[in-house]
Amino acid sequence: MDAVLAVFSPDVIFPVLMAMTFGIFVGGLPGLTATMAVALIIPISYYMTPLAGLGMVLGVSFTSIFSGDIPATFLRIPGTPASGAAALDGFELAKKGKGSLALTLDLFCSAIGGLIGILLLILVAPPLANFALQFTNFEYFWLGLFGLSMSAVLSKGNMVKGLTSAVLGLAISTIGIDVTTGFPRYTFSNIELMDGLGFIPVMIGLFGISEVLKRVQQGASKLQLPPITEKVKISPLEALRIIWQNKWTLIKSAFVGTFVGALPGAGADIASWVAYGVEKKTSRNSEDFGKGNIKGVIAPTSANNAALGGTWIPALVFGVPGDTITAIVLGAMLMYGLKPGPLIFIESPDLVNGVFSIAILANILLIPIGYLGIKAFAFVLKMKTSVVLTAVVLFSMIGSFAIRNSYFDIYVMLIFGFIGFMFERLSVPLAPMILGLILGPMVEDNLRVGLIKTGGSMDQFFTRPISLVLFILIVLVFLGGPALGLLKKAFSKSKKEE
Amino acid sequence: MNVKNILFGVFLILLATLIFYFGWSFPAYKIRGETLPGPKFFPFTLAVILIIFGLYFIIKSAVMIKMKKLPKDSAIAFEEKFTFEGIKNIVAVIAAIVFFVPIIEFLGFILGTIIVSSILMIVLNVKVFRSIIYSTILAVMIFLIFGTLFRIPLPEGIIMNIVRG
Repeated sequence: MDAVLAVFSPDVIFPVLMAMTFGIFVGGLPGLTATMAVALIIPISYYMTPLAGLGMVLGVSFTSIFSGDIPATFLRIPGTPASGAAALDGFELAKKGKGSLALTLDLFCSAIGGLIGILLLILVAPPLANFALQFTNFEYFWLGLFGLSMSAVLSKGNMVKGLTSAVLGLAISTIGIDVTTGFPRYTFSNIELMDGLGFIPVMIGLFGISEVLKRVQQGASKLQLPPITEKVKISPLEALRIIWQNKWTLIKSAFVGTFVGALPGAGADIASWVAYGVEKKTSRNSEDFGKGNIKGVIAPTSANNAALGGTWIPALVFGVPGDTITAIVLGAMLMYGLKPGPLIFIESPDLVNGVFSIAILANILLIPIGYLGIKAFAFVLKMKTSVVLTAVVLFSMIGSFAIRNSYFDIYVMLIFGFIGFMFERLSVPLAPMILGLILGPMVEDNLRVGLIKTGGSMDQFFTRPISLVLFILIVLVFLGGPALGLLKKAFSKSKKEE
Repeated sequence: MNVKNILFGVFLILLATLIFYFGWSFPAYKIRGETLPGPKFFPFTLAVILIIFGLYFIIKSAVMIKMKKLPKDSAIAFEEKFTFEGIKNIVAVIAAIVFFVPIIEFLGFILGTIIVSSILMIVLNVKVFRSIIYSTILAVMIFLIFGTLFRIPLPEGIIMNIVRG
């Protein structure tokens, strides 16, 4: 109960509200992703208590995923990748002067879908954590590899490039003092490298600066706000009535979203496409999808916010992130001195309950804050892109500096920003790299300690029952992962053809 | 895209070579005379994988060039052509980050940030007066959040230190 009450203390609720407002702003700007919003909020959350910090991250992720749907609806430009599926029918409704209807439904579905995702997290995580207590080094090694494999396979484009990105992330994680022997690796006698490359500057570089470089390369802003003519105004009660009529679509999509989100590496992006596809395939009026069908708004928007709850399941229970956002959260938790994994439920129950409570609260607060976001959208798009990008550069620099008071980290951020920019030109996905960086110590330590335990033999990695199951799962990922990717591609392609 | 992939393959092999070169001197890890995976075990394993991937990209792309085919992922690559304005903007962002540290060290955080931010905005086509106004608001806002609220030691600048004596 204390944990629940702690959520309402001013030093928690106030930063969470600020972070949620920030999320609305960043998510609503086309090109600035929810991941970038989380990356930019982490340096600020670092100075809060762990509960307030994690609450800020939760709040910013919920609002930015929702607000990505706003430009998706009005401009057909998804504010975040997770809004891609919502753009299809949302934009068609907006063209008919029903943009407010689409976004009001979207807002309620995001909040309710998010709540369902969190409730499933609360129900599933503790028993799963009990099961995870049986895991030893052998299982954690495979689990880390499983997360990386999922991320690489489900990334856009070439699977080998996804794997390469993951291996590069693992390689970066080897910089610094080797925890087993205490020997400094690839530090070149630089004291700043002894603790390894800072996770925050690498992340801000990959997701913040690379995006800025990509955008400024395009020259003057291509974004023009089209005239938004609203013929249909809708009251919240009317929206709730429509949602009640489509309650099974919402519930089904939220369950699909949570399940897909819980797959390591999948995340809200794939969840929304899969939910959209499932709804379209099972609907009697599937031919109406993509032409302004309300179910085509309800399904993906319920699923993408529900997926956020799902992504926390592997993150909290096993310490393996469900998507890039939870990868960043795991990095932040390690900075707070918290070790995600099954023991966190025993060692820090107050924190876990606090995180659950704050996630529920954030979904409820999403409704008023999101509503303001819809109203403020026209103002947000009027801001000159160059000013916003300059602000992102300044916040990125100071955010990278602030964690360790190190100017060196600003240059690390720049280098990784440039790497991210170049990799995007080569269609090398960035998410597996950040996952590799986070999971690197977990994979390496558990592999080496496992080998030390067995005197150098790999037998136990394959003969222990759970280890063997995880190994088989990895093999299945390489066989089944592309199928999930194809599923998503097929849904978006069939839409384009229509 | 095929040529880019070949260059990417070469980059991976070069990186792997550097991992081997700088990791060669890492000590072996022995317990009771038994050699166990030491500091070089994991990075060297990764380097081998990088070489395999590097060769894969080089060979596959060379074959694709010969067959006059484009790789499937070329459609999703960020392929915006480099224009003069684009390069100018990229250089401006990189220069702003590179020179940010020495400038705030010399002029202090607020003044340095206003100058760097204003110049960047002007290069990115924001009018001069507006650039200065926006930059001032941003600099003060960042100072209040990080400097005052979180007490991050932001530089006061050499000039301020000289004035104070």
